[in-house]
Amino acid sequence: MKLASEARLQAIVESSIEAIITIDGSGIIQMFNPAAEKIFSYKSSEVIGKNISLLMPTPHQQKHDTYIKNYQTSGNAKIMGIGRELTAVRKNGTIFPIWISLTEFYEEDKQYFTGFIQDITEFKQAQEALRLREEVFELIFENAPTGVAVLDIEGNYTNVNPSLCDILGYSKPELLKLSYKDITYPEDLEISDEYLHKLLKGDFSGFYLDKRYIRKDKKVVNVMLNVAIVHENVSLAHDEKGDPAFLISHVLDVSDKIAIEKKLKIQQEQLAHRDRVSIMGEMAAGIAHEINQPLTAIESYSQAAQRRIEANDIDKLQELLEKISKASRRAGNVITHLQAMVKRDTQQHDQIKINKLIEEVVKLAEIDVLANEFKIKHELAAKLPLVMADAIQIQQVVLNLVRNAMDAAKQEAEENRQITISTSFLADQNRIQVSVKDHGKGIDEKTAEQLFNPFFTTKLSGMGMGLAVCQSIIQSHGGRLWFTHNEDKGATFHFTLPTSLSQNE
Amino acid sequence: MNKDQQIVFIIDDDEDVRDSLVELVTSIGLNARAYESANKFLSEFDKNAPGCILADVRMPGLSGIELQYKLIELHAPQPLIIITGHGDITMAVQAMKDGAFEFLQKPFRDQDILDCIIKALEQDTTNRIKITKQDETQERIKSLTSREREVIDKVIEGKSNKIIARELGISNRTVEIHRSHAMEKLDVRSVTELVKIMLSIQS
Repeated sequence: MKLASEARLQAIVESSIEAIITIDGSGIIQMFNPAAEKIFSYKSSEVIGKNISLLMPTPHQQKHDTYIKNYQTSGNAKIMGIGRELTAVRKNGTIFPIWISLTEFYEEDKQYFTGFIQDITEFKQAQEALRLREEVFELIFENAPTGVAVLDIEGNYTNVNPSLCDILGYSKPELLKLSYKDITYPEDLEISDEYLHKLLKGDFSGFYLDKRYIRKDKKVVNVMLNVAIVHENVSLAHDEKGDPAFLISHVLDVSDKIAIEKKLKIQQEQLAHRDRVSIMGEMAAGIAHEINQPLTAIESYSQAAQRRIEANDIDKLQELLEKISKASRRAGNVITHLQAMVKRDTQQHDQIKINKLIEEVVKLAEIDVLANEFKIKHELAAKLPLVMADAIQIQQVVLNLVRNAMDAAKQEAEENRQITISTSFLADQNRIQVSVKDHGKGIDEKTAEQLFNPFFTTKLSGMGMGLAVCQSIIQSHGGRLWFTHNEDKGATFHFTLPTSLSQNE
Repeated sequence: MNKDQQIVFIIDDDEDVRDSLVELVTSIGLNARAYESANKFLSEFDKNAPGCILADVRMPGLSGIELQYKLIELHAPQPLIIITGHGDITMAVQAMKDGAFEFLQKPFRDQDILDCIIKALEQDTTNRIKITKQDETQERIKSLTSREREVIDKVIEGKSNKIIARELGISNRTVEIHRSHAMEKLDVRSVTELVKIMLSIQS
């Protein structure tokens, strides 16, 4: 029986993956199993009969005898029964970490100790790698320029980094008491909830969302949010996705970006605005040139005439005077020719959508509209036919009418600083009508008579060409420009344009 | 130069402006000839016809500025007056830099245009005298013998008779004879004058 049991024990010892070493009470190695041979690189024959301190690095090497003596006299062992981490030394001198547990037994009154030893080098290496990784992630988290947060699946913050604290204006302890719901801009709450719900349901593994938070100081901050979800493992043994465990969110403050974009947009609009103004300026320069030519002629003819008087050349004088009056008629006719001029200036007829054109013009006028605290109301009819027209010229007309409307009501109270632009289809004439209505000072009879005359103006600065040019443009398109008095206050300017017969919108 | 022979060439695409300038110019007894384009003017252009040219800066076809370049190419002695409209100042400044005689802005003021035309005609006369002188000098230089020309070239380089004699392998006396003959033919009395006229034909 004893033999059988001894044989069984022998088998266990031989096949154990743990190193098993037995020493006697004075530290001399009695038994050294194959696993021990493998771990320490000694043959058992090389170590049996030698002191166990052979397998220990300094200072344990020197002190081991004392450890045993201490135990033998006091019965206290730092190691006995519980197991602990130690270092050991291989035959080639390398020191490595081990896990050791000891038992004590007596045979024939002699004291023996058996140690069970595991080489934990790999375990320690894995542990160290894990520690390093944690440290790396910790640094990334703490120093990230973007806001990063860990949230539980309810949306409560469980960890936040300093950048997120900066973005939201809360301290870390404050944020850890909050949920995303507490700081989301009310209008953005619904979509935030919906996205989170879908994320938890598994509709997607993460999402991007442009949203707004309210900072502690009540300021609104625009962010780009990215949320990812981390699931539990169902079991440690299987790589199977379990329930959602927590959320990781990245928060990028885009308030500056939005401000820059806004600024850019305004600059672009100002540019477009300047373009439009310069087209008007070019037209005015064209008109100036047309008038300048006969004026130059008149001046030269007059000087020539003066000399003919001195020479008493009456026939020539008469001829010159006729030429002078012809040139002055020409100057007067320039305005009549305006229509032809407008046309000559490379009018380009395209099929245009009048509503879209009006919207573009309103955008152009936006800066002035905002500066003068006006409101522009659109009453645009749906499904209007296309019109054949020169888009830029028609834009100029609308822009001019809007400007005039603003000038007329600039001094009015706020409720009257409103301009209504409407479009409609006149089926009987197959024309489109555009109306620009203001609530300004209106047009008195005397003004009305001269309204469309060139060089007539009620403004301090202005050439008085605006409406004259507008009328020429509309007439050259085969339309009509006129105005009506409003029943309540101000005036409305209307123009019509023939629709393009070939195609409908 | 006789005023009767001088012509004011007027180039403007605007009929009224063109005609009024003709009237103005003829009212002070000058000859005028009008063209509606620079190309028409150039097709009839004769650089030996004394006068001055008045051209609008903005014209269909060749502009006033382009005409100016053509005239420079042709070595035209007639001064060019550029007429500009409102807002063409930068073009006018460029024209002046490139050698236009004057620029006038429409509509003209009082006597400005006539004063300018008269000055331009005087300039034309001066230009022609200069050209005639240059032509004469050319003729005189052609009349030099090759030996005389050799000696003169060395004199202009600042060499003394002695050095010239050594370089050409002739006697001092012979150099002196060639030199005095050449100066006689060129109608100059000093080396300074000689250098001056030789430079004038080079430029």
